[in-house]
Amino acid sequence: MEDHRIMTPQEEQVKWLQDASNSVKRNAFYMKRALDEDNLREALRYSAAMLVELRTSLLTPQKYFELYMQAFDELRHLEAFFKEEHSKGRSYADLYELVQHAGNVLPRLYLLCTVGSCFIRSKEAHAKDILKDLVEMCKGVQHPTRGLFLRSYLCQVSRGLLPDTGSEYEGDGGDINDALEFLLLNFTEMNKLWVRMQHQGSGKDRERRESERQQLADLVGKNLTYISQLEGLDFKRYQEVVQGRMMEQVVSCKDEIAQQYLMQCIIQGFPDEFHLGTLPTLLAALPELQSGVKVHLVLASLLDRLSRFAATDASVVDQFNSSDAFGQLLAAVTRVSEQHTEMPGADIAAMYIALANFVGAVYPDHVDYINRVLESCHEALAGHGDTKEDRTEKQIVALLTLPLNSYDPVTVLGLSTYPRVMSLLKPATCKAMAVKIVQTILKVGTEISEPAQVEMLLDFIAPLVADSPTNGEEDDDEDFEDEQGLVARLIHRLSAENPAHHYALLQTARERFSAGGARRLRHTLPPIAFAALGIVHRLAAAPNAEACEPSPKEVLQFVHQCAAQLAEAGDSAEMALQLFLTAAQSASGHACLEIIAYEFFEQAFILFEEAIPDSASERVALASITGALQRCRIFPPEPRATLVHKATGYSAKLLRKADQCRAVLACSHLYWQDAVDEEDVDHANNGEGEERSAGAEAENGASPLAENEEDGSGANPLQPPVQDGEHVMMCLKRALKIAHAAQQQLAVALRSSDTLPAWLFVEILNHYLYYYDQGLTSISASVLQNLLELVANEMAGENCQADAGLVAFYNNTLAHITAQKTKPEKASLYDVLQI
Amino acid sequence: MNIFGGLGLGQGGTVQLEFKRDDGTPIKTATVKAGGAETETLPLFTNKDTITGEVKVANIPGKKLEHQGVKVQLIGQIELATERGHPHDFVNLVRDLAPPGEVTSPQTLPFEFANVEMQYDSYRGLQVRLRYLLRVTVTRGYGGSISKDFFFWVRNYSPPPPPNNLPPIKMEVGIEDCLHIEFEYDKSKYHLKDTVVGKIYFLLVRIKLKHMEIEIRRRETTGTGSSARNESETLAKYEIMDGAPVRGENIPIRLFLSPYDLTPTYKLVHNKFSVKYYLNLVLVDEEDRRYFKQQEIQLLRLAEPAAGADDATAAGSGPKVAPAPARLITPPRSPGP
Amino acid sequence: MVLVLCIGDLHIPHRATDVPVKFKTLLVPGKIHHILCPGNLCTREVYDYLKTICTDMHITRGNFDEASAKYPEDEVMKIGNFRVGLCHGHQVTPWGSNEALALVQRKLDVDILISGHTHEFKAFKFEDRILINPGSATGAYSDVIEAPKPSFVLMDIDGSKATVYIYELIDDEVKVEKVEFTKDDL
Repeated sequence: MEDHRIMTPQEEQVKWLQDASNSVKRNAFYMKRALDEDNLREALRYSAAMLVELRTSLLTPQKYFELYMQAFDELRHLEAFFKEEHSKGRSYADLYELVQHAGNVLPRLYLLCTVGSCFIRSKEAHAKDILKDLVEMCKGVQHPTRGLFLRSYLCQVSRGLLPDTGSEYEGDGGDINDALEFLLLNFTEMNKLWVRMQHQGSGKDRERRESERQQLADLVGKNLTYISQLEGLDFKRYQEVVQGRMMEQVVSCKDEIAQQYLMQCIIQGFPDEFHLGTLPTLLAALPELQSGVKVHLVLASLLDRLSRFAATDASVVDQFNSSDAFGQLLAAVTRVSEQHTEMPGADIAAMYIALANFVGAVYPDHVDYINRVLESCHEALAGHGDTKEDRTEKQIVALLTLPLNSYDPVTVLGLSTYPRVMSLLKPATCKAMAVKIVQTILKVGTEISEPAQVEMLLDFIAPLVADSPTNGEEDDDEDFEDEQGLVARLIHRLSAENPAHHYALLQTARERFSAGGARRLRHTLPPIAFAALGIVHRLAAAPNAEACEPSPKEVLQFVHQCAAQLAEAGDSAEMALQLFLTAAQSASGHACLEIIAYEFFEQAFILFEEAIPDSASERVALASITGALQRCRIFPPEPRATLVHKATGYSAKLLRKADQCRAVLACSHLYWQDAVDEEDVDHANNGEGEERSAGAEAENGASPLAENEEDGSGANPLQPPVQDGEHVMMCLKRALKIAHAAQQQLAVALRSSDTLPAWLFVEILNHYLYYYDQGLTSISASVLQNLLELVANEMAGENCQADAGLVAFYNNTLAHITAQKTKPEKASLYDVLQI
Repeated sequence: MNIFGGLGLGQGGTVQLEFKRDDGTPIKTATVKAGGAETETLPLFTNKDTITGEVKVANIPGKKLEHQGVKVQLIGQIELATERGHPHDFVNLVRDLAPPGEVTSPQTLPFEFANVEMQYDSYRGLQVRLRYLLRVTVTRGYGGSISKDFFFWVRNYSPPPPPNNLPPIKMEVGIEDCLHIEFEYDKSKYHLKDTVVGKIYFLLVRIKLKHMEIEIRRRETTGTGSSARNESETLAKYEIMDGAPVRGENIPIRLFLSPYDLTPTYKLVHNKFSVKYYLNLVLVDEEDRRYFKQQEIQLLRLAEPAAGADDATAAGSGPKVAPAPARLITPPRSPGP
Repeated sequence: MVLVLCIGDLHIPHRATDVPVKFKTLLVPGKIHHILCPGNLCTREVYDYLKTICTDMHITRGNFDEASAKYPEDEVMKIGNFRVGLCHGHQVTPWGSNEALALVQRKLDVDILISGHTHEFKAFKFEDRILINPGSATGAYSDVIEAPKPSFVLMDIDGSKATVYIYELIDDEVKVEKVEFTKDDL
């Protein structure tokens, strides 16, 4: 029963192939039977009948290929038989004629190629004659698909039979020129057939046809591969014969697909040195290609090969130079863009990208070449219609990004043409480009060491540094944060060996950033301030710090301005506070500038009082203040007392009793600094310290933070460590008082079971132990014993015993005491304590 | 090889004829088509050959055969389809072999026709045939004379024409603004084992061609003047191109004539008929429209290079080893317009 | 065997551009089981970066971390047989004091305390407990010490055994030191 269902095109293909394949099988069977019976005429008749199936026009190239392969395999039987016939005395000349009696041209030519290859192998005929005949006779098939496969068959059966140099068929059989001629002719004919496919059928099938053509590309390309594999193909022959013939065919076929494919084939297929030696010819072809050809891809392949070639051998670069390869390439690219005005801007830019890639890889010293590339690109795109299209812009951004990676980014940005190309971009894209620039500099790790460079760099990244008037749209917050984070990181790339230069860079940057508004400043000011603190450190370490230009004081003043600006910017009070504290320590520690350090603390205190938003942040801020102040040894007793008093006072203002208690405990340390080596103190007081003072007197111009500070300018001596047991005790007692108060507060609130007071008591106990261990004489063993008992009583409560964390804390504390008892040097202290 | 023709003569006896050569060498033969797929093998002679042989007359054993004489005739005749049954003898030679008598035992009667004028080739066409035969007649007193015919084949050979006297056929033809081609056959005269070499050059193609072939056509003409009749048949179809060429394509032609049943061109044979051959170039487009151009070629038969059977595989003029490029390759064309 | 990366005080972008490339090449995804960061990252970008190394992150708030990040002040976890505590350290006065940190250890009841803030790496036994400070991964400017070197710490905890590797970048070369602790010694 026949299937009358309407079939899909795919099903049709399958069916057609099946039918044809069955027929091939059947005829092949008869052919082989005839071969077994030694009946040549019948065998030829059936082989022709089998090959007739290849005359089909129904199959797609893929399906046709399957059929072709089937016939190909069957023809091998025939080939074997021909060899046998020959060994029995039949001449190949006879066979060569006999197969031509076939009435249909396609089967006839398959048979002819089959015999022809045997004929050559037997050497009864000259390879060149047979090859010439075959390649000529194949012109009888003008149908693209059938012709391509036939010629592909010819190509395949003649493999190894060409009179190539060194081949056994060379000599009477011809020479390399014949081999080349054969392949070139076959290539030319195949390409013509391939191109012709495009013009068959109706316009609506265009896409399908193009995809079918792509499937057949490699059949055409095989010829070029074989050419490139010829032993006898030397540069001279390539230059004089092969390249010209290939290029002539490529250009004259006027077909995009073919040109695209073949140019790539040629570039990939032949050796680098051939390309280098024939560069002008190769490049001359580029402008001649159809405007739809992606010249940039072709160019990219070529340049990629050339640059890898250059990487293998240093002398290649000399060759490039002696032939002005760069100039040739640039001229070619320029010509292409001039001739193909309708070429998409993105593709034009892509060509320049390929070129810039090449320059970057081959000419690491020629940043001027990049300039020329950019200049030419600008010319090509300046008047171009679709410069502002996304695709084009993307390519322009890529082009601009490229040299930043292969050359010193700052030098590249300094190229005269760089901003011109960048000006082609829309403002929004400029911003993306700015991000790229920053990212690249960060990645490459470039150091920006000249104020002019900073200016220039900031010009380029202007869209990130300040709002641009044309940039109306609201930024995405997260993007904005990311961008500003990048700019902030960039600041650490501004650096110079000389602190003064470094400082100048930061000043320049800060000036520019000031225009960026509060929401940028909170990102950009902290890194500037920290970088400046680094400078202070370096200046202070110099033997003659105060004589430095700038002085540490001046730089600290700069930091002060930054922090103050930050504080004003709003929403950044905590950061400003932390910055003041850090600066204060720098002033007190590195620079030994008492008044300035004092000022910094003052500022931090003001911020603490006015601008800290929540209690958690308050804790952080107060802990930082306490920690910072605790370390300071620059202040004479009086100013120090003022500051300490203030800080201690803040602890009482905290909201929660527990926080108050812990803050007071922390403040106790403000009265107790670690003992330091005497030597260290001497060093600070009598050594450099005095020199610094001397230096400072010579320096009049430096403006101090406050007008009245002139008298105190210069480095101040470090004070001896504070160890004020009395005040420590006051703090500890106050802590106890607060803990008790907390206890009462909870009782009032009917929350006596809360273990918080017990936690505080254990913490207080630990602080007592800390100072006891430090040798604070105000804490006697009995005082401690009392406290221990107090805490033990507290801990005896059920609620406390239920709090595993608290119990662990308490036990750890007791264990600590026990452990201290075992230490010989501590034994005298701890022995008396009863647990 | 001896070829016997034999015939029973009613109840009386049998007659056989055997072609023999005096020197005992075998008689040449030709295998010719006998209509349809049938072939037959006949003795082969050429003009001025001497035809010798023996006629054997035998009685039925035990009975005697009486006759008024035995003779053999050599007849060459042309028979037109329009005059069927009334062939025109252009040769008629007689040899009496035996006087009246009776045959009581088989008798062998030798005969000879020396230097026979057989200027025309044997030919079997659609509406005409030219044949040669030996007719043995046993004249009998009662029941009338009985004759039996023994056919043979005649082929004549031409000397090879001087090579420089073979102008190629070259012509530009076409349909205006549609198809212009230029074709070329290397010669206008071919021998029967020859190869037609040529090319088609496409000057303009505005139609979608599907394929192209060369036909070998034969035209017989009988009669003359107003009563002339033509009959054509296609003896060969040989595809030379598959697919649609574009302007500038050059398609090679190489057509071997040997596989086909061809004869030389005959001009006004005995004023009765002519046989002409044509190469017909046919182009078929996708809508199966046919465009063609017919060119007459002269065919001639060259002498066989070596004595022997006619169907030896001798392949014309070229050497068997390494075909000469000139024969293989279509001549290069000068660039098109 | 559990690999714990201790890394902190990156101060990006305030004080440094990035984690040193040589560290980045060491810190590949898929090997680390936990990240313990005592704080001062300081931005989401850094957080995101650390997250690429290992998604199990524990972070406490440093004095430069924004409140919005909502990192806790301290955190305790159990790794192997160890109790490990995490705390930035700016709130431990005096900064960097071992005795003060020991107090925190007692309070958190941890065998190992990871803290930061000083930018000075350390890993040693103090009063029968382990103190670890991974230093600053970027070698960021410090209030406490001069010219910090970039460093971080990798702990390999195997039951009761902790092997601590300290990675330090000195003259652009990564130096690794190894310290071993067992819980029984504590």
